[in-house]
Formats: sequence, structure tokens, C-alpha cells
Amino acid sequence: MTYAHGKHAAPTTFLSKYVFSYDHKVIGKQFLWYGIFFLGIGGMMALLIRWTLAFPGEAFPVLGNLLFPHTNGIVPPDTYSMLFTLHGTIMIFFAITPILIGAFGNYCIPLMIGARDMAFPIFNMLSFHIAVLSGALLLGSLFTPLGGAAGGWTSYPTLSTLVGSPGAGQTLWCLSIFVLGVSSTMGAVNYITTVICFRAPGMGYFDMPLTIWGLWLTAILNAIFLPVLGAGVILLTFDRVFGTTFFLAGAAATSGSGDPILFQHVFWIFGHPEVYILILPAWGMVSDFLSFFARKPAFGAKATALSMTTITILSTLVYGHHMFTTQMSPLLTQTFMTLTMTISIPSAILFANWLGTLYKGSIRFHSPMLFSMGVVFVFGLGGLTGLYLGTVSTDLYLHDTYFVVGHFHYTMAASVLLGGYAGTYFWFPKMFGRMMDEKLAKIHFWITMVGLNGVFMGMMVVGFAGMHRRLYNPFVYEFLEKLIPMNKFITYSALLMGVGQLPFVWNFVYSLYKGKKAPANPWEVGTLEWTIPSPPIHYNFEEIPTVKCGPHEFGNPKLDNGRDFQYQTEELAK
Amino acid sequence: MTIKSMNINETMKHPKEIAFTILMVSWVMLFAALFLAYALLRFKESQWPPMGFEEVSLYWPIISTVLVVISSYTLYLFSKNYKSNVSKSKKYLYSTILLGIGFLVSQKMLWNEMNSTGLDVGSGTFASIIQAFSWIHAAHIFMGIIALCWLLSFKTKANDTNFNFRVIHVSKFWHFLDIVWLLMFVTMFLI
Ligand code: HEM
Ligand SMILES: [Cu+2]
Repeated sequence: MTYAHGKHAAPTTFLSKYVFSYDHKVIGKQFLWYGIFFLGIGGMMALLIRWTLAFPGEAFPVLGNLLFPHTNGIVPPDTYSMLFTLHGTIMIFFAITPILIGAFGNYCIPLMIGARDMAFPIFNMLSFHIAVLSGALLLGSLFTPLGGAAGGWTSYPTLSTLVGSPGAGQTLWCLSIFVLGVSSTMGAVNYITTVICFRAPGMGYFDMPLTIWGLWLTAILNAIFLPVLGAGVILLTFDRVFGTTFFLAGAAATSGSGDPILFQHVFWIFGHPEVYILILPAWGMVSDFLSFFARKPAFGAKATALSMTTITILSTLVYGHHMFTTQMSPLLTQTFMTLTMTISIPSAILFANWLGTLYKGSIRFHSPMLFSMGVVFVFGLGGLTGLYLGTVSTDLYLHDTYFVVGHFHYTMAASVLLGGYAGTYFWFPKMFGRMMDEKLAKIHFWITMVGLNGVFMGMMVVGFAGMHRRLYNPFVYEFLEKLIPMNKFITYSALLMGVGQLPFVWNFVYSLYKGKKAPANPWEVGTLEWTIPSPPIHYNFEEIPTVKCGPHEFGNPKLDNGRDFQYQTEELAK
Repeated sequence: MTIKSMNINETMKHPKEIAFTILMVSWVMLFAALFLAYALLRFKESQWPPMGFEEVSLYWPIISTVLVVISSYTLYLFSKNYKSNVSKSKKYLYSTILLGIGFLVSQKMLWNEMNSTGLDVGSGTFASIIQAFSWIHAAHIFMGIIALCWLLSFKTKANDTNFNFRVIHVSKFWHFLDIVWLLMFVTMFLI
């Protein structure tokens, strides 16, 4: 609250402006391009996976012969494993993380708290460059003789040890994740410090937009738990490269014996917080947008912030619910089940506050709002299905079926994707000074929404019917043959969803150059980033603003300035 | 890009201190995860070292311990004296660096000895744990030595605030590694 950067001259050369820039706004955009690039790759992989599940043994149309010449265009089984592994890895670590945390975190934190930059700009730049190195390692792994990693995004041993994956691909995967962990930890240290030290004078923690709350809590979880994953992948790398035996057991270990389950512990101690790492920024943004576009104060904003904090704390205690089927003692499974259920309480408060914000609002259905309401819907479904997985008795049946896949795509893929789009439509004018086209945005929303629910609801149905995840051809089992039509439906929905992204791509690229010039405050909201021109000048704030009220001051009957909102720099109308 | 305090009366910690505290939390978690792995693997066995394995000789581990503890002490003396007494503090800093290098050498001897007595990394979890953890720790000591060298310019910068932070943070990092080694020494070699 007491620190600020001095004003500094803008860089002039191409390299210092766009490649080695210290400016958080440029770094945010770099992460945005990086994330969108990987989102495209991960999306293509998803389509290949879906094709294989709907039309097993048939050549992938058009590109098939080019990609898989040895099998006449059919996706081979080992490639299939590689595809679902890298799809998960890319989407989680290289698409969602850079977009939600890297892009919005970098872009929004300083602007929304009235700072001129992140606390440590050079550190921030390095964080991006290290992320690029990590992406290069991952993509490079695809070109090793035996191909990329194929042990699933969770890379459980023994699949991921030399016994399961002999090639260099899995080793490169481990290194890539480790390097990315370093990058994200550096980013997290920066975010946390910035929020603690660089808030504009007058801005208490509860005067911060909830977006910042989400990003801040995410950064805290990142700083604490990424090193745990780091330790896990280092040990896995040692097992692969130096012949240690941490995760090898039985005949796989020449003597002495490690424990494959050990990796699951380490992975999920990180992994469960990780799922909240991914969702918290989206929650924060949605909590703000619902208020901004319902034109009324966020219902129970303080309670929302505190529930997010409670969830953050509880999320560190429930990881065992991913391991119910590993012969855990019943005492432990029941403890983890109870702790998991405890998270429902703050989640329910959060959710009720969202509905409370919408209740009796004068809602404006602009694209960021549509996407935010989409998040409310899909996250509701995803959260509810979590309860069935968190309950031991039902999870024993549902574990490792497509029901789990449906669950985490609703909570993570769908919610975060829609949240990310909401943020993109909302801050595009701030970032580039131009508006995106509303009509295309709405078309994008509805196609995505229909496609997405077709895919993920379909997944839950086939999962409930017993279809396991990660099978190359589930239909060799007789009892699953009847699920082929449903799988075809999922694949068509996925195609629809894929096609639905084209309006977005077009809209984004077109608006970048030809979009309508953005007005000073297109959405009429009062947070600090809208008190300055779009795009902002190099060091954001000519004078560091003084904050006098909260971020959601809408529809105050005492307002007499002809607007229905007030800026955070204005004294609260009384 | 200077960082200015907006309100000089406030007693808030400097951003660098806060950031370093968070970094330390990350490092603590890294080593905590390793110790967790160790604990799980060890409690799985009915005896430790597992059947067919000998205890590792304490010779090199004790030497490592002595070196790293003294190095922490000399670094402490350096941080107390660098502002007032250049020649004395120079000695302390150089001794810290040399002791750090000595620590790495003693670790290398430990690994050599283990390898020559059949406790190479491939021989099972017992050796894997000792070797892999001490590699990871030694890699951090190596980074620590580089960080210590980064303090060598203290003669001209003794009154620079940024430099003072650097001394504080490098010291914290070094003492932290000292403590981690002590924990490793006790849990891996003594009990
Ligand atoms: C609302 C409360 C939630 C509960 C009770 C819950 C519960 C569970 C449980 C028990 C599993 C393990 C299922 C199994 O493997 O048998 C699971 C898997 C998963 N959940 Fe959740 N979850 C919740 C919310 C979330 C959220 C918010 C996210 C992400 C943003 C998420 C992402 C995931 C992922 C990624 C997996 C599967 C990982 C894998 O095995 O590949 N969940 N969930
Ligand atoms: Cu979980």
C-alpha cells in the first residue's frame, strides 16, 4: 500500500518493446499469444482423440494421411496415448495457466490496483522467457524417436517410468514441467508482492476488485504447491535418467523397492490445489463481471472474497479424494471424503452470492456477461458432479471413467474457458483500444455453449454407463458397444464447438486492426483501469490514484453525477 | 525504475523482503516434499536400512556437517561486520565461500564412497534417497556459492540499501541450506 514505481521512459527499439519488455502490459499480451497458440494445438489434439473414439479404426479425414502415413491415416494406439497426455498437459499448463494467470494476471493486477508495474519487472520478463523455454521443451519432445510423453497428464508411474515409457519424450516432459514450475513460481512471487505492497493509497484488501482476489489467491497456491510438483518430477527424472528407484516396485526394481503410489501422493498434494489455481482467477473475474453488468453491487462481496480464501485453505487438505481406489485405509478415505464435502460450504456461499448479485439486477447482456453467466451454469454442474466423486462409495464405481473426465471438463475446461473468453471480451478494449464485434461474440457464445454441453454432458453419460477413460478402443468390450452412437454425438458436438471458435478468431484478428475505436469506458464500470486512456500510457498512471470507495458502486440512489456508477477514485456518494 | 515509498511513516516491509519470504516458502515446500517421500518410503520398510544394506559410514557426513555449520557462522560474522570492518569481513566472506566449496567436495567424496561400497543409486531406495537428496541439496549449495560471490563487491556498496538486502537474503538462503543439511544428517545418517 505504500510503494510505487517512478515514471520511466518508454523503450524504443523493437526488441526492448516487444521481446524483452519489462512492461507488465506487454508481458501480459505475450502470455496471451502464447496461451492462444497452445490452445489451438491442444484443441486439434482433442479433435484427433474424439475422432478415434467415435470412428475407431477409420482414417482421420483430410489430414490423416499426412500425419500418420504408416497406418493409412488411422491414429495409431501409441499416438493416441500421446495425444491425450499432451492434450491434458498443454491445456492445463500451457493454455489455461498462461492465459488466465499469465495474461490476465500480468495485465490486470497493476492496472486494477493503481500501480505502474509489477513489483519486479525484470523478474516478470524472465518468467515469460522461461515459460517459452518450457514450451519449446514440450514441443521438442514430440520429435524424439519414440515420440512425446504418453503416461497421461498425471504421469503416474509405472506408466511414466522407463518400464512404461522408454523414450526421451517423458523425460523432456518432466523437465518441461519443472521449468514451467520455475517460471510460474517466479510469476507468483511477483503477483503476491505486488498486491501486498503496490495497492494505490486508500485501497484496502476489500476494496480490491474480486478479480485481484482470485489472482492473488491463485498466486499464493502456486508459490506453495508448485515446488511439490517440482520435487515429484525431479525424482521421476532421476528414476529415468540416473536409475534411482523411488517409484519402481516389484519386478521393475532390481532390488530394494520404491513405491509408485508415492508419486500419486506428491502429484495430488500439488494437483488438487492446482485445480483451484486454475479456477480462482475465473471465479474472481466472474464475481466482478456479474456485478458490473447487473448494475448493482456484488452481493456479499466481502463474503465472496472470504469464501474464496476459505476454499483456498481447504483445497490443501483434500487431495486424497483422487486416490480412493489405491487401497487407502478406510479411515483415511472417510477423512478425505469429509474434508472434501466441507468445501461445499464456502462453495455454496460463493455460488449463492453470484445468484444474489444477479437477483433484481438490471442486467446488460453484453458478451462478457453472457460468458460469465455461462460460467455460473457450467460451474454449477461441474461442482455438483464433484460431490459424487468425492463420496467414496460412488467414486469406487465412477473413478477413471468418463464421468471424471466430464466432471473436470465442466469445472475446469468449460468454466475456465468461458471465464477466459469473458475476460478477453471485457479487457480487449483496454488492451488494444478497439472494440470486438458484439454480434460475432454472441454467435461465438451460443455455438460454444451448445457444443460444450453436448461434449461434456455426453462424457458424463458414457462415463456413468461404465466407459473408462484413456482406452484406445473401448468398444472391444461388448458392454460398451452400445455407446458408439453417444460417442459419435460427443464428437459431432466437439466439432461444432471447434467450428464455433472460428468467429472468435476472426473477431479477434479483425478487431485488432479494424475494430471500432473503444470509448473511454465502454462497459461503464468504476475500477481503476477505466480511469486512464485505452491502451494505457507506458507507466499506466500519470499520478498514482487515491482510492476512496469499493469497486462495485452501482445504482446508488444518492449519485447525482448523471451516471449509475462511480469511479473508485470518487468519494462514496452519501 | 526505482521503487519509492509513498508514505515514509509507514513501517511496512520492503517488497524485496516480502518477495524473499515467499521464495523461501517455495523452497521449504520443495524440501518438505522430499522429506515426505523419504518418510513414506522408510516407513514402508520393516527395518532401516532395508535388509541387506549397511549403514553409511559417518566419516564424510560429519565432515560435511562441520564445514557447513562453520560456514554459516562465518557468514553471520560477515553480515555483522561488512559495514564497519572491510579487511575482517573480507576474510569471513572468503572463508564462507571456501567452506562451501569444501562442503561440495566432501559430498562428492560421500557419493564416491557410497558408489564403491555397493550403495550406488541403482541399488534400491536406501541409496537412492541419500544420493538424490544430497544431489538436490548440493545443487542449491552451488547456487548459494554463486550468490555468495555476488556479495564480493561489498567494499564499495556497504551503504547501499539494495546491497544490504542482498546480504540479508543470501544469508537467509545459506542458513536455510545449512538447516536442511542438518535435518538430512540427522534423519539419514544418525537415526
Ligand atoms: C466443487 C467441489 C469439487 C469436488 C467435490 C471435486 C471432487 C473430485 C473428485 C473426488 C475427483 C476424483 C475422481 C476420480 O478420479 O475418481 C475429482 C477429479 C478432478 N477434479 Fe474435481 N472436484 C471439485 C471441483 C473441482 C474443480 C473446481 C476443478 C477444477 C477447476 C476440478 C478439477 C478436477 C480434475 C482436473 C480432476 C481429475 C484429474 C484426473 O484424474 O485426471 N474439480 N474431483
Ligand atoms: Cu481434487
